[in-house]
Amino acid sequence: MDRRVTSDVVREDAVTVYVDGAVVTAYRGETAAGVLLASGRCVFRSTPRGHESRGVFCGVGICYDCLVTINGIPFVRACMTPVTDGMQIQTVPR
Amino acid sequence: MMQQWDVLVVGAGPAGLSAATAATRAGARVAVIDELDAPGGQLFRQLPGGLRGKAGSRLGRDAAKGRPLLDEFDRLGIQLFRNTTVWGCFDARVLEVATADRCWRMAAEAVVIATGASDRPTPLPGWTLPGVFTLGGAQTLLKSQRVLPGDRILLAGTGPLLLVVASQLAAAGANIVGVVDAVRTKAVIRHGIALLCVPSVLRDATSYRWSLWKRRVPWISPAAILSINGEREVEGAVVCSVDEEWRPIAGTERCLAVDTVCVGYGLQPDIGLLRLCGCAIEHDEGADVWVPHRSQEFETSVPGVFAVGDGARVAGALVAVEEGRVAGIAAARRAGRIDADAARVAMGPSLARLGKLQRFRAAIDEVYRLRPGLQELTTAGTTVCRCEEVTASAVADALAGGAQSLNQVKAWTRAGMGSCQARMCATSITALAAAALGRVSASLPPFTPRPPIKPVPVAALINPSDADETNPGGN
Repeated sequence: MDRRVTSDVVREDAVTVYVDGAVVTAYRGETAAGVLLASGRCVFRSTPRGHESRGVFCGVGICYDCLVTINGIPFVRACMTPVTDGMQIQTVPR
Repeated sequence: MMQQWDVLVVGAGPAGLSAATAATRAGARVAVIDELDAPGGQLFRQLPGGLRGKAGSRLGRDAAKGRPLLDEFDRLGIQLFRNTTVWGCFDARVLEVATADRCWRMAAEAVVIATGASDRPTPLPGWTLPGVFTLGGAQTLLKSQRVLPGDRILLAGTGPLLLVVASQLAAAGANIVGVVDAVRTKAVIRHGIALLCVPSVLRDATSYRWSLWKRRVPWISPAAILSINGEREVEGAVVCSVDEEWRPIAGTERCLAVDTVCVGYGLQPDIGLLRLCGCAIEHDEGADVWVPHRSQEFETSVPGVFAVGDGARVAGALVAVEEGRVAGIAAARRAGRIDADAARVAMGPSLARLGKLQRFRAAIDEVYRLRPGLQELTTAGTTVCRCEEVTASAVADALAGGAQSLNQVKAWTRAGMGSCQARMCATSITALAAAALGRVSASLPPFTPRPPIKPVPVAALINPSDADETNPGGN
């Protein structure tokens, strides 16, 4: 599955990121949230109390629902974080 | 060390860019602080480096509207602090700022706050499920990432953004199952006469609507989404017809199989920083939000602190740009860079245009005024505080148990204490409290804002740095 729109944009540089250990192709300029959603992953984490699943909601860095672990740093907003080559993105917390 | 500027602008959207360019032209030394990697804010957000747009697309045309202002900002060489968050204000016109790994203080003769607006959150059953986006969130994903939010998409809510996002998604090839609008289309057309005084808006609205009609996107109105269902993510949604007060009409419910829902009932200003600066606020009855007191030149109750654009009162980019220009000139005057007479002449055209836009704003506000049916979508079991996972019934229990103020509800339930700092729940908890206590929202002072108004990494706070070495390399 790829939800990227290709009709009106050119993605210039491919990079490789790891989502929960799996190799995923991404592109420079994309955010971690963009990459996860493009590949059909909308569940980013589960909540500490009710263990409800959560993902991107506001998309602009306000709601803090899209928190993931990036390169070992927890509670990072996926929607505000551009990907880099080799980035490790971990979704559901351990 | 503390950086000293003539004018500091917080937010690099239409209002902030306009304020910064106007103040710079008036001779002031200006710096702009923004959380994003590039200027433009949400409305004038451009594709990030690495993604190159092809000519002629709908989104390309929409993004181009921001170009003149962005180009002027570049040309003037105004200092932009990117990826930088303002998290506190302990002394008048001294801002505490941080990036991911360092923090410092910035002081100015005048501060222009242009922090923008975001979708008014509307708690309804299932709204926390992955696959539910705000309208603005879905738009940002499309504009800045060129990614569709899902495969079978339902859009719901009301207001200008609903039409814009539906049209942009459709043009990008999204499968839109329906657009559910609480406002009857006839009501919008009836006010069309007010749109005539702003031809560019009328032209855009007609073109957006035509593009949806051409693609046979079902427009369902007056209607609303009652609930969203699914186990781990969105699997469907229940929609129904609504009356003039946006209340569901029994027997009209139907279930739609969708994997994505985008909801937006208008925008609300982000006044967190304004409140931290001590700016007095008042309740805007029509929009049911708190807004700052402002003078004719958009100065708040705190001398030298200005509030402009959607971050002060939601009125769209045309108004934001003019307000920014007026405040930017007033800020430069306060810094002693332009005299009163020259400032008056420089502001004149913007003040005149704002007067003309007033009628248009009033018409839009009336058409999309929130109706009581909206808050009745929140059921007892609905999560209202997403961060701390507090339901409407937990809030109701606190109120029944004696809580008399929003701050008491917060202390008893933790609602409003989470990472978003109540940006997602303040309006709905206010509405719940007003209903339970038999009072009007205006009589309930909002949650007391506390620094940091946005989470800041401890790594940044323990790394205070000098002004010079913090300079991120300019614009």
